Amino acid sequence: MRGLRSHDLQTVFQSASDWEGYLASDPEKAAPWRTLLQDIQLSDEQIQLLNGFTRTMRVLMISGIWCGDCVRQGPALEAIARANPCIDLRFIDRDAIPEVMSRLSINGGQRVPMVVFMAEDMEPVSVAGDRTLNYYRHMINSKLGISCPMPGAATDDGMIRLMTQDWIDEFERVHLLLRLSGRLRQIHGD
Amino acid sequence: MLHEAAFLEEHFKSGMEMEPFVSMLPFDQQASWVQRHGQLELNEQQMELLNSFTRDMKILCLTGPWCGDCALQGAALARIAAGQPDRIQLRFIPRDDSYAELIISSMINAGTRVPVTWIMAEDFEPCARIGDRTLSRYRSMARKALGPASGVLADPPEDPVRAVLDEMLDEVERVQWMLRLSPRLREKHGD
Repeated sequence: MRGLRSHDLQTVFQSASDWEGYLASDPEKAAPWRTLLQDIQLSDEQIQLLNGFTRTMRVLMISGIWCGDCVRQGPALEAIARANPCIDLRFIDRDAIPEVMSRLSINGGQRVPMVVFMAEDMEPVSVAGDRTLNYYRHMINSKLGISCPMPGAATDDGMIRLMTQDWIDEFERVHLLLRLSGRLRQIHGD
Repeated sequence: MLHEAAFLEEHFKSGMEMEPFVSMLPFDQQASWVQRHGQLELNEQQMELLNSFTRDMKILCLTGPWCGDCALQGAALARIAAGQPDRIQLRFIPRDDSYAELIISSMINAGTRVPVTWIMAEDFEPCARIGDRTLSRYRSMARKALGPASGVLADPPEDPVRAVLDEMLDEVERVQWMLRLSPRLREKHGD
């Protein structure tokens, strides 16, 4: 047993790519990532919230460019990151970091996407994945054949919007954790 | 960060349910747990959701008996577990030296913060780790500490205590659907 530590994450983060670099690794499979990014429109309120972030946060999306869940969630993360340069988002392929992935196993499997949120100095803050609540509610409705949609479950059209809000909620939570951190307030004098 | 199943199982088995955990605390620390528990009765819709769960889940909460957020989240988790006792098993362990290995390997933003909660499958495979505070609690703290500069746009919840219960239940629900749809567990249970 051992958890993820900042020095592990620093090495991985430095070897990860930004959006364009990651998609360049397989232009054919990258096409749906680009298409979905165009479809994601953040609301004015979401943009205002994200614009208000003042702490640098490092965000690592561990992904498979071939993976349908990653295709849906990666563009949402990129849209969020584009709203504020304080959000430093990188992507890396799951198979490139087997040692780290072995410590991020979920339900007995090395699932993707996994998203690791870190402070500016790579101290780990949160790990999220593989899917958000609204995404799972949508899947439960569609895969288990529930005749009456469960309360709060998204339609196909609404799922991406709700899933994006799920991710914004976690970005906001981590940002406030960092903004209120005694350690970081001392460093930044705020 | 999520740890291995065997490691979590070992800690789960040394943990306690809420009632014996709270009863061993000094009297002044018991009060906040008891008070929060009294404020967090599940409503009909929450009970209906929990009754729909079909997968067993284990929940382990690393907690500080003196810590207000731990009492709040711990009481919320106890209510959730009591709402589905056939499927959810919940254990608490205190943040003390006897659990140093778990504590040191679960640091958040370079600190040994609590509460930290692991939600696991029936065989202790970890599915989620949450902590330390929920979004609604951080929004509340930011409003108080930073005022308009907090950047918080959301309105305060009508009931801040029950807001945390809702947030904890959301995460338990998310993991339940993860387990329900898991090919590994669907094959095992033939469903």
